[in-house]
Amino acid sequence: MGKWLAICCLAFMAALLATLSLSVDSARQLVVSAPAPNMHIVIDTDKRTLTVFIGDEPQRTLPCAVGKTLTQTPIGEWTIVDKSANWGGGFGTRWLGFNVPWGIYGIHGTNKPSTIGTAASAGCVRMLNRDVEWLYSVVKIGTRATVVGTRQKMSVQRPLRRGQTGKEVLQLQFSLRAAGFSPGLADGRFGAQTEQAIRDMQAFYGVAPTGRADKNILTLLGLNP
Amino acid sequence: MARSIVVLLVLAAVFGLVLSLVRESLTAPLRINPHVHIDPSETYHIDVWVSLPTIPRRETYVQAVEKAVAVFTATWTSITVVTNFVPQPFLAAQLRAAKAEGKPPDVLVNSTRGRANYGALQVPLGLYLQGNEGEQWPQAIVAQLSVDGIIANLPIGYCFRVFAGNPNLFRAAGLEVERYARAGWTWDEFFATVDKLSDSTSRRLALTNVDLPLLLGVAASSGEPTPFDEGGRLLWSMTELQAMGDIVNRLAATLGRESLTAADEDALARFLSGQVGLIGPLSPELARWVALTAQKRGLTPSILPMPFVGSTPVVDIAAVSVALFRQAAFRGNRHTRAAAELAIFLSGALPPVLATHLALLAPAPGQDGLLHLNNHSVHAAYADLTLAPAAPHATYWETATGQPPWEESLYPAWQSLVAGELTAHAFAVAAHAALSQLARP
Repeated sequence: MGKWLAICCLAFMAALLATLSLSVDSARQLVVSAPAPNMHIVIDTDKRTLTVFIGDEPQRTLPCAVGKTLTQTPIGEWTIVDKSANWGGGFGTRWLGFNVPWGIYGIHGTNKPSTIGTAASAGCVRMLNRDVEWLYSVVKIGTRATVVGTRQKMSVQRPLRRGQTGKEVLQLQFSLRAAGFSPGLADGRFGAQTEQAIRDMQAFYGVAPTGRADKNILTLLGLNP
Repeated sequence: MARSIVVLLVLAAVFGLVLSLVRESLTAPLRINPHVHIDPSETYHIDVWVSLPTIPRRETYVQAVEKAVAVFTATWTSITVVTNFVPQPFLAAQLRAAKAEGKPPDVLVNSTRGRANYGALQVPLGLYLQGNEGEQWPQAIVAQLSVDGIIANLPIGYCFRVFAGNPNLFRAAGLEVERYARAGWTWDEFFATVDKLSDSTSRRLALTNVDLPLLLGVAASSGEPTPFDEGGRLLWSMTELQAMGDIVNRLAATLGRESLTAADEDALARFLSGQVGLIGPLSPELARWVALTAQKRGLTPSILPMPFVGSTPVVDIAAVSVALFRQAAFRGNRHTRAAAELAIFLSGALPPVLATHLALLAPAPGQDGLLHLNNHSVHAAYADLTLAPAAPHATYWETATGQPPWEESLYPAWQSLVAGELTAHAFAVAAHAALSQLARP
């Protein structure tokens, strides 16, 4: 009788411990998986890392692979615009897509984990499946994803105006920002904020207020070939 | 009975005398005493407004101004200063509202083309100058900053508009650019120069702007930069307005009407590559950029003033300044003296700040008072304060009634003139009508 009682007590305690740890794990998951309102991601192509921030506080830094020399991951300020799961193959178990205007870029898993930490992809950000699954669980659509790193300045071959998109618009935005005129997000889209930054610059220098990145503006920014 | 009447009459007379004395003191004009000394046992709270133009990296400009104020308060420990930076587009309206409440700032730093006369509650800073301090500025600048013969504001920098010339192309055309850089030039000399610089294939003049900067530059070239006097009387006649129209038509004849109406979007690149002999009008910041960038490419441009109308040389230089106010509920002569000390301090401390951040001309040690853009030590007309217009660039009338700036009212007629839709005479008629609407009835 006493022995049976001891066995029952032990079984009860084991079950209780298992339940408690499960609850704690669930609670931790609940806390971690709830998307924070000021969460953003920074991908460093030089260091090959992806860091999740809440405000200015880094939460977690994970290794990643970035684009090769000829297919570099686009440096800029992007937004996560779509999420999907289980593409498989080289895309691994999860996909988080950026809003890069000139191509399909994003963050995904991999079937080649040894490439993580290298410049190996066609431009996307490659992560270990377990890491991208965690990222997928915490990041929501609309989260800012900033890609930073060494960037070659390019010349702009033509005048640019509102409504246009592309790498030249992105270069224009970086140059405006460096000159002290904020174009909003450097996202390769020539919108209202980029136009206003150009008008501010034209007003500052006293040149014709076209609102377009004409040759005068490109010359002032040092972007003329 | 008679005795009571006499007593009543005496009391009435005394009462009336007392009332008249009180009335006299209430209606007597406020007398500012600039000779009081600041009491070190008192604390003075001074409000400063600093206009904030649309410039890149304005935070460094703000920091530089705040640093200057901090140096002052470190010396004058009984004076505390609150500095408010007001975006330039909102300054006029905010100042008008504050004055209407009787609470303008104690000190106003207007860091773009300013004016002398701010109307009621302004206290002339000239009252606080010692000895012959007022003689350090040329008469033209004193005239720009004086109201009723007294220096009202103190200068903190000088705004200008210029052209830049390519000495190589001038030399190839047999022209001596330094002659005009030293002495200035008339519009006739300007157009004759452009003709000689040009050939059958290209006009070697590039205009960076045909809108308000050109309008204001042409206006200043007459020596009367603003169309109104302090009382709202229209100064510009039909003759002067027609002369402005004639200048635009000559520019159209020189460049071709199509080139004039479409902004030259490639002016800077063409000047830097040596295709253009003359480029302008250039603001201070653009002139500095052109000079420095050209020098990096092996070209040292000459800086030439805006041409002038008539035979008396005048160059487009406008003083920007610091002004002093009092509150409607007068806070005392010592408080006003404390604010004046700050204004006088800023008139010495801010010129290098404005020179750095706004590219304005400023006195610099070791030079003849001005920051030269040219790399060679020749007298530069564009920076010669003695040639500045001896008249303010903006008058109290222009903002007292809250009307739109005169150049905005003139702008539609100007656009039509530039587009060739109006003759010079028709422009003068339209401009005169628009300005008459703003003038004192």
